[in-house]
Amino acid sequence: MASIITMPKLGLTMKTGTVTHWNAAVGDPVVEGEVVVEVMTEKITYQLESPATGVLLKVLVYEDEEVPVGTLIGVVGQSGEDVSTLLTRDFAAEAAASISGVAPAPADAAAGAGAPAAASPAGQPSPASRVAATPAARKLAAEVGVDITHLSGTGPGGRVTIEDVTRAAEDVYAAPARAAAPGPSAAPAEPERPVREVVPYHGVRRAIGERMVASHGTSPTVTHHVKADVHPLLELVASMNATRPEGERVSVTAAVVKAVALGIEKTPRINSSLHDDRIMVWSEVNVGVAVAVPDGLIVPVVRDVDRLGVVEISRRIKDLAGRAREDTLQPEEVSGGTFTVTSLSGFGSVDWFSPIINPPEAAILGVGRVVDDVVVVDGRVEVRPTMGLSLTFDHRIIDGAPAAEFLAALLDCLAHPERLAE
Amino acid sequence: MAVERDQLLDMYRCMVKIREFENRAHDLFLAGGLPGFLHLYSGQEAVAAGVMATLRPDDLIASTHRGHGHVIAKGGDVRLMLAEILGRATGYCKGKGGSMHIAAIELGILGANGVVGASIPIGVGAALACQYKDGDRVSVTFFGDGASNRGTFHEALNLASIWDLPAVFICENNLYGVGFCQRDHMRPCDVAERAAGYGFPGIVVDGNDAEAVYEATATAVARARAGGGPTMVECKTWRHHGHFVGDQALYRDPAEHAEWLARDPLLLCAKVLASRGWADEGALLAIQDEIRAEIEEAVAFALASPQPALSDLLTDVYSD
Amino acid sequence: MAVRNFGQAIADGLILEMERDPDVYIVGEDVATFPAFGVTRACYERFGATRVRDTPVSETAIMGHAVGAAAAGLRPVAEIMFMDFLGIILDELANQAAKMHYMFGGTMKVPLVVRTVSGAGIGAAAQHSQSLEAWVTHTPGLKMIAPSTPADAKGLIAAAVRDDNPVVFMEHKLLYATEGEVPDGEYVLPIGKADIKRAGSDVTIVSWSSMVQKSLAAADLLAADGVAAEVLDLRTLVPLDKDAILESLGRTHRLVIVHEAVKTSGFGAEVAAIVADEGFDLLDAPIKRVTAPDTPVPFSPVLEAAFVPDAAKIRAAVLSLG
Repeated sequence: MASIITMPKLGLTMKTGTVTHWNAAVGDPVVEGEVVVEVMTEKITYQLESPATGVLLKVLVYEDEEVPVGTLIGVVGQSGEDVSTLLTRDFAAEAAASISGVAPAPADAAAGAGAPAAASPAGQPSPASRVAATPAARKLAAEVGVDITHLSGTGPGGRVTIEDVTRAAEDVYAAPARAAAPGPSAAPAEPERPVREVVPYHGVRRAIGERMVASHGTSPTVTHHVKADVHPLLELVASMNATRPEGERVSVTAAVVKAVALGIEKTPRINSSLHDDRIMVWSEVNVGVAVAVPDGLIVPVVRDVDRLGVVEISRRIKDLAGRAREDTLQPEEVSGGTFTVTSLSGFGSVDWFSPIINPPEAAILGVGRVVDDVVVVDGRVEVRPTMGLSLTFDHRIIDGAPAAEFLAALLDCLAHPERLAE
Repeated sequence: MAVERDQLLDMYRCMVKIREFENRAHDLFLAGGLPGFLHLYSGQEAVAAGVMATLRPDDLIASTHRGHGHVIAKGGDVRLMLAEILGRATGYCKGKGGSMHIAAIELGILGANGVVGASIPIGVGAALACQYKDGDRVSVTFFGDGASNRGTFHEALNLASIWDLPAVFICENNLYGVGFCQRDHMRPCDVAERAAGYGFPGIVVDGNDAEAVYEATATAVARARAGGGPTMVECKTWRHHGHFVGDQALYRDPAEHAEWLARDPLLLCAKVLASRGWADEGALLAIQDEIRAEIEEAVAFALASPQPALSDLLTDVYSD
Repeated sequence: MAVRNFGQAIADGLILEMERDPDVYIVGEDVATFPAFGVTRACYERFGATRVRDTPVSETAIMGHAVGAAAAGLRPVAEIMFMDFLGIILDELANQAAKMHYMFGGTMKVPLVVRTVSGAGIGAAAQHSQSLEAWVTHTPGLKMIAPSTPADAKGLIAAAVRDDNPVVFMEHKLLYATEGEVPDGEYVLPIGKADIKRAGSDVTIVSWSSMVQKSLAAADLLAADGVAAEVLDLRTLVPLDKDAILESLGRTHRLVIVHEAVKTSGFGAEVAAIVADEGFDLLDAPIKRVTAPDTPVPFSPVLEAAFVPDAAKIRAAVLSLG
């Protein structure tokens, strides 16, 4: 059974820690007791040992990322072991949960009172009585409905503290799935309203949410909307695909990504990030392409698109998207982006929208549907396929004019797509 | 300082009151109606009566575990005293003190005391208050022969001496410190000799002779009021009962006990009153009847008095 | 405000009270002509031998006569030169003074102050160095004051003199030389009010007397550790400001109690028991006590230093809470 590695609490007031170095990469064999990851607090660097012998199956927090104490940062298990169950469970609440010893609660039992008692032999004290927990933690747990038997404490001797309960409690509220689970103890939060489905707000869903909130709360954004005549682009793509087998066809998205690279070449400021008192304008053009996964979104990054052709970009996007859905992306494949493209074109409904920037990037391009529309070409009215494009940019970094300039370059590329194929 | 007729009659009346009170308390104790310890004053009445006859109401006294006689002689209300020793809410101390802890500051009574010898420095402190307040009040401290072996006795006498305090020390030497005979528990045969060790006079008197007690104490009080410093008056006396009710005092020689009973202070005083023609037998019997009625009324009052409220348990720990 | 040392502040307070109330007098061994720690010399110079009274070496008489004088209307301030001598006066203090108001049914007041010198730190060894506040706090009827600063000492000695109950006023000998701003003129603090000497959010350090200073030093160390320690100076042990302790704990959820007295049955145990009872649900860590070990006070300076709690020990106890 897989073991988890969490951000340890190394001091009375430690709230967060930063992963500074992974000694092992995903897939590497590790031995119990071997130092696998180094974390840093405000004061010290601390080496975390592997909790088990096996393979480092998962890395959830990458180098230089700062996360709250208790956050799951890695998983060690046996090669090929299916840890998806573990990963679909509620990371935030179970970050502190011990995999060994007390069996981790099924997600639907954590908030219910029945499970632990049922697991105890008749006449035996309930596990709650054996859990070391502070009085304040017990009281808080009772108030917010957290079962401390499923927490492993971060206090001395593994004692459950207020902070442990608070973390778990946040998850209880964030994951009403438990409340909807079958069973008499699983009362819906609002019984008078029939609930069709309760979706846990945790894991990737929660990570997305928190990222969006952080982005939205930080960046003053502006969105420019433009309409592109994509007749030339579609013709080019069609001609490129005419001779290609089914699995190697070039996507319109790949062409748009390439166009973005060319636009950035003309307006480099689009490709930047704000770091404290400096705006870093990047040399590399690494474009993230948002990929929908079941109840979520992953943004794998195509690196150096300015140096890649459309065919290669297309191939890479396809590979990354596939592996995103399989959840086999490597850490470096989802980090390091400098710009993001997100597309809703496949749904055939949305022309324009206002995407939210993927921090610390400065801008994001939303791609709408391709739809026939009346356009004027060379003074004549024609019906042409058009595409809605929406550029959201961080006005702290980019003013309206350069954004418009970038879009002009982008439209120009789309209007003269032969340049994309060069 | 010769005693006059009315004075001696008052002393006699006081002694009868003490005796009747103690007899009644004894009865109540044996009947099981009285909690705790009871140290009866019977037999020593001439000391309380003789000493207190020399005092003014604003003088102060510090008493002992055997203190009923002192309180009565200083003007204590026997109704409130009986209520107190019965533990009733109407008692001098709301039932919180009992027999060994009756105090009445309004009468100048700084309290009986459950710890042998503890009243002596308290009496000396009261004497300092008398001196400090620029009046001519005196403080009288009662203690027994047993207490004269306590460190409190020696430290307090020394302090009273060096500060020339208006203190009168009344040693009620009933010849036994609980069960330990005085001739065995100390070397000088008179406690009063110890006063010399602290540089002030010690007088020995017959403690069963109220007149003698009065005269010796009056001298001591006058000296104190005049700023002459402390005096000790040792009153040789005898308790009729054991140390407390229940102690049969088997450690005492029955013959000696009989001799002392024959010298009962009430009998001696009655003889004097009769011999001087100050009171005939009928008058003395009338006093006794009158006192008995007063005591019976006090017993009835006390028995009819309410128990303390349970909420009183927590009050009076601190003065607000 | 003026800068005064601890001993001067007490003398200032006493002089003001003696001016205000002619029944207040000072009494004890060498209080007039040759005060052991010098505190009452100024009082003697101001008021003379009637109101600042030297006694023989007779602690029993000092305490015992004070009880009688108080009962008879005076307000004695008795000095017991070393707290270790509490044993000599225990009957007068605990059996007489403490009980008279209660056992006489509230009819008698015993307004007296026992000033006494506590604490180790000068090589005074086992019989002149103890902190015996728990002997006092275990006796209903007595109040127990243990200030830590000159200002508190002035305000609380005045309050002690004005109080109608027997009050033990503990003066740690190492505090005498400490200085601080002291309000000018009449200054009276309430008895029974604790004081937050340093605010903090992570842990409450409860202490009194000289250990407040050690706790403040520990709080400085802890700040460097990233721990914000609150230092709560009880100032008065009886009556105890329970509300202040629980209020602080409600914010910090961690409690460390520091006293110089030995551990077993020390007043820290009482604080811990109260918190376990009335503040159980506030606790997010075990209650820690930092105290002297259960030994007599040693003479050797090396051993004495090890005996007395210091900032490092307090810091370690706080950090052990995790």
